[in-house]
Parts: sequence; C-alpha cells; structure tokens
Amino acid sequence: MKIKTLFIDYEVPRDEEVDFLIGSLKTPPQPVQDIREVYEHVNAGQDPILRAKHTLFITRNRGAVVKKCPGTSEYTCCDYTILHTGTFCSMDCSYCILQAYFHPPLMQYFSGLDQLTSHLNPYFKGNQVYRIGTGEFTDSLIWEPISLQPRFLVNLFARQDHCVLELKTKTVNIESLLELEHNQKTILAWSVNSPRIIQSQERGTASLKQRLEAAKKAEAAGYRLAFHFDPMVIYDGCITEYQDVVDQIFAHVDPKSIAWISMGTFRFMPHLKVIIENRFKSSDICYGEFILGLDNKMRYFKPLRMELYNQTVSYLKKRAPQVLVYFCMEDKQVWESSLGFFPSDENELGRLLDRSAAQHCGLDPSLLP
Amino acid sequence: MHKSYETVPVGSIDPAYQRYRLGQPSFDVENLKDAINRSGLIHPVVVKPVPEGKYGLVVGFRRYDAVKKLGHSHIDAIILGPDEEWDEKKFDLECLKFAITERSCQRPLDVFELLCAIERLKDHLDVQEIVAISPAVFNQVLNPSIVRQYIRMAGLSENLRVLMSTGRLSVKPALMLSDIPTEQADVFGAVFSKISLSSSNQKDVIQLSLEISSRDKKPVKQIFSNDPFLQILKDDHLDPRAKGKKIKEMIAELRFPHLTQARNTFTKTCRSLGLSGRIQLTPPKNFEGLDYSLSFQFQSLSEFESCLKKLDQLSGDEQFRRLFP
Ligand code: SF4
Repeated sequence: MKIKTLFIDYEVPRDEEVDFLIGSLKTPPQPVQDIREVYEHVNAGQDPILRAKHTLFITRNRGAVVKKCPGTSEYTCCDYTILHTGTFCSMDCSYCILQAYFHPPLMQYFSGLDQLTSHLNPYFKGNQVYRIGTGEFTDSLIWEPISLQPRFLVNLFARQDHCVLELKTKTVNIESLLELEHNQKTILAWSVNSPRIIQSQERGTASLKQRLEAAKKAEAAGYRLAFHFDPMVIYDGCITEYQDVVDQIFAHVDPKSIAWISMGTFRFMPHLKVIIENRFKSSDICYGEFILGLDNKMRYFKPLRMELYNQTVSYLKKRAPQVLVYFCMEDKQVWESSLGFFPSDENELGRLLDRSAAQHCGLDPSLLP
Repeated sequence: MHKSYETVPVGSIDPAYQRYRLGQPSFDVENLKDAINRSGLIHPVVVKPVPEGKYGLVVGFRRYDAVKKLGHSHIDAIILGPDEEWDEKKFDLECLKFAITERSCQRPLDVFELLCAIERLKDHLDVQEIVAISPAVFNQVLNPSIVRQYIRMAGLSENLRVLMSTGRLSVKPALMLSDIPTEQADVFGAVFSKISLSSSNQKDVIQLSLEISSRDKKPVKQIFSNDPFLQILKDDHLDPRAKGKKIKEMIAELRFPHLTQARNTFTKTCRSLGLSGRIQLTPPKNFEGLDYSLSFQFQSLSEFESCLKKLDQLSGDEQFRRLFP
C-alpha cells in the first residue's frame, strides 16, 4: 500500500496498534479535528477516487461495528455478518462498487482492537453460528502488511468456536498470518477471475497464479479456504477461461480444504457506469448485455448468466463434487438450472454455509439447527 | 462607443471578416435586392475598422450581400469606434454585444445564433457575467445552466449547428455529441439529417452506438456504413420517421442481440398461439423476474367461455410450454 498522505483523527489515542500502523507507512500523520479536512484533500485531486487510494485516514468507527449484510428480497442472500474494520481500498478494480458507495470515497482504518473485541464477544457467546467477514467495504488483507488488525482478529477468533472469520482478498498478504495458531476459525478467501479480467480490470491486484500460490501456502499452514468467482464477466471465450480458473484452483489446493466457492456475474448500480467510463477509458466491461435487475442493479441478461454458470459449475462439480458452491444474488431459475436446487426458505443458504463452516472449521455442532 | 454615419465604398468592406456573423450565411437575397432597388437601403450596415484600412461588418451581412450583388459601388454605413479608454478586447466585446442586441431585438435568437453568440462572449465573460448581461443583450433572461450547456456545445461542427437550427438535432443529444470527437459526432449528424427521431431516441441511438463502438473496437462510422444501415438511409420509399424507427431498432438489436432475439421469439410464438389479441401473455420484464402474466378481455359470457377453453388447450400445447424456460 502506497500512502502519500496520512491523516489521523485527533481523538485517536497513540497506542501500539496505531504506532505500528504509522511506523509501517513511513508517512508523518497530520492530525485533523474534522473529517471534512480529509474530504477536502481528496476532492482536490483531479481524480478524487485515485487520490483516495493514496490517502489514509486513521480514525475510530463511530457507526455500527458489526452488522448483517443487507441482501435483497429478490435474490438469495448468503446471510453474512459484516465486521466493519475499514473502508475503501488501495487497489483499483474498474468495477469496484466502493468507488460509488462513498462520496467521496475515503480510505479509513478503524483503530481500536478493544472495540472489535467488545463488539464480537456477544457473537462468540451467541446461540448460533455466525460467518463474519471484513471484506465488504474494503479488501480484508490490504491491511496485513501495515497493521496488527488481521492477525489480532485471527487470534481472537481462534479462541472460540461459535463464529468463523472470512478474510477476503485479491492480495497475497498472508505472511504474518501463516505462523498463527488460528485453530481453523479463519477462512482465507480469494476472489478469483480469469487472467484476462485480472490483467485488464483489476489494477494493482495479485495475478491469479500469485493468489493461488498464496492459497496453497495458507492451506499448508492449515487454513480453510474459500474462492469467490466474482465478478464473472461475459466475453468471447469466457467459459473456457473460467473453466481454466477451476483447473488452476484444483492444481494448487485440495478441494477438502475449501469451505465454499461462490459465483456471481458482474452487476452494478447504474451510476457506476459513468465512473468506470471516466476512470477506465479502455475498459469495455459495461458494454455487455445488461438489463436492469429487480434490485435496480444492472445485470447480464439471464440466459447469458445461466449459460456461464451452468458450464462453470458443471465443470467444477466434476472436479470437486463435494465442494459447496453457491450463487451470490441469484434467483430460483438460475439456482435450479445450474445447481439443481434452490434454497427456498429464508436463511436456507445461510444454514448450508453455516454447516460447511462448522464442518470445515470445527465450530460447535450443537449450534446448528 | 463612437458612431459616425458615412457612405463607404463596398470594396472597403472585408467579406472574409465574419467575427460578428451570428446566423448562417443566407444565399437567398433576391427579395432584399428588390426592396433595396425600390426604396434604397433604409437601415445602413454597421461596420468597424479592421486591419489594412478596411471595414469589418458588425451588423447587416444580408444587406451587404444584396448591395454587392446589385453592383452598387457604395453603401451607407454606421462606423463604430472605441471609447478612448477601451483596448481592442473591450472594443471587440462591445461590438459583439451590439451585434447580438441588434439581432435579438428583432426576434428571439435561434439555437444556431445563440451558440455563436455565447461561444464568442465566453472569450470575454464568465457564465455569471453572461447571465447578468442577458436581459439587455439577449432580450431574455438566460439561466446559468443554459449558458453552461451552450458553452459545452461550443465545439460542435458547422453541420451539427445547422441541424440544431433546423430542429433536427435537439439540445440534449447535441450535448452528448459535444463530448465526443468531432469526426464521430459528424457521423451522427449525417445520420440524423436523414432520419427523424425524438430527442430521447436520438440520445439512445448515440449512447448505444458509442457502446457498440467501444465493445466491438470499431469506429462509429463503420457501424453506419454497413449494409443494412446504408440501405435504410438510402431507401427513398421510407419517410424520415420510418427510417428513424428502423435505425433505432437495428441499433438496439446490435447492442442487445440476445435480448432482442428472445423478445422476437416470444412475440412470434405468442402470435402463432393466438396470444396477441384479446388474450395477452406478458413475460417478466427483460425476462429477469419469474412472474409471467396473462390477461384477457371479453364482452359476453360466451366470449369468456371461449377464452377459458383456449387457455385450457394452451396448457397442453408443446409450443406454449416451450415459452417457459
Ligand atoms: S480489490 Fe475489492 S475493494 Fe479493492 S478495488 Fe478491487 S474490488 Fe474494490
């Protein structure tokens, strides 16, 4: 992570966590009283989104620390719980929804490991399984080389058996996690894509090969793994290339180590298109056959999605029939045509994933319904 | 500004000096020639001194053309001169305001004239300043967003401006065209000059064509120089409205081939099953949701019964069943 300007909330106390972060970034922090100063700095850039990727604001999380993934009623939701540890990302994917979420986007690190503990404790003592992830508003592991937070979380989750932590990334930043006593309560997850899409749309991310090499190392260190084919992009030859990604995954890791694999084709809020067109002039990712979905996001015309899913899932299932595959935000028709079933009641997909988490990560089985 | 009334040689006016021409050159000055022949030049032209001892026209381009065509040696003119403290720039601005005021007091400026006027004023004034002088100079209050739009369109080619002034290109699509290279914008201009489309359809055609061009990595020109498009544009039996409709449909099909095919197949099947008249089957929007809807109209009990009978037959029909994936 290359940070050119570092701001720190004047209310954030200097402790070991913050000192480690500042020391790793080697950029003198500028204390600020008001977040508007940071917004002004970001907005002064010719491309505020790009400037935001080189600007970090160390602050406290003043909103919800743990919250349920909102999902939508029209498409199945995986019933995930979000741990809000930071926002935005130093990598630069053309399709990144975070470019359009925040106005302007701001890379924030939420300090306060004690705050994480106190908010997670009720979940650790709850009467159900929770799958908790940090990868909703940021990449989980861009922080690994510069902060103590990821290793703190791995250690924290290792001491309980009600919840599993999923750290989702496009980096290979796992060095400091390898020697931890993780007790298999952390799933290291990689978003994967075809090398063509990684190269053309995912600026600054690790290559597929590098990601899978990292997954192999994580597996050797006893971690459970997950892979997210997301966003799958439809283009000439995409089916063969996604099948090739499947081959590559299984050439690196054992299907038994994989807690789940998800798939989701590219979908976007309509106003993201203008951002992509302005910031990624050579990207043609928005020019597929998109229609307005029931959740008001643009998504590929359904028969095209189904074709890609059918071919990729059947190929994957031939290689690894036991791996749990699920769709991110898809409907009954898509599920049934590709996977032969549909988790129809509310939370059924969540329960399937909980079971897989319990089985792979040694969670307390009595918590499963 | 100083004004002096003189009769100057027609040859002393530089015809190439067009700085203050707001409208398009008009070649039809026959009526005006007759009027001048009959009654003489009632309103003198307005000029200002320009380099090489010549005059440049500020107001009266048509009158000058008519007098020149009549072969007169001299023309009555008001010669404008700068106030003492003015520099060349200030004098230019005042002449510009003079030319615009003179035109807008006769009638509201058309799009072409507004474009020319604002494009030139922006060399001197910012948006707020143009807004501030608009009641006096344009004889109407221009709001800032309109001024900004016209400034954005300042780069539009002559062809596109002509299309705008003849009502064949609306402001919103013109704004889209002002954001793309002139060469591409002119391709749309050439197409729109042959077809008739509403403003929103023009916008769709531009948007979808640009997306096809980016997706297929080929220039917009190539899309419209392909056979089916060329044939429609050249077809003398189709009126501009019918051409516009066809072009729009073809562009949409090129942009969304699978969706269009699915829609066409669905419509065709419904028609062959008799589901496009009083009984209507509607698929989910864009085939995305899961809910199909069926409606039927009847005027009597017997019609109601025959609809039910038809529906009953349909459920066993293979073609009907294939409609549902
Ligand atoms: S890695 Fe994820 S969070 Fe980062 S830019 Fe890409 S999509 Fe956004």
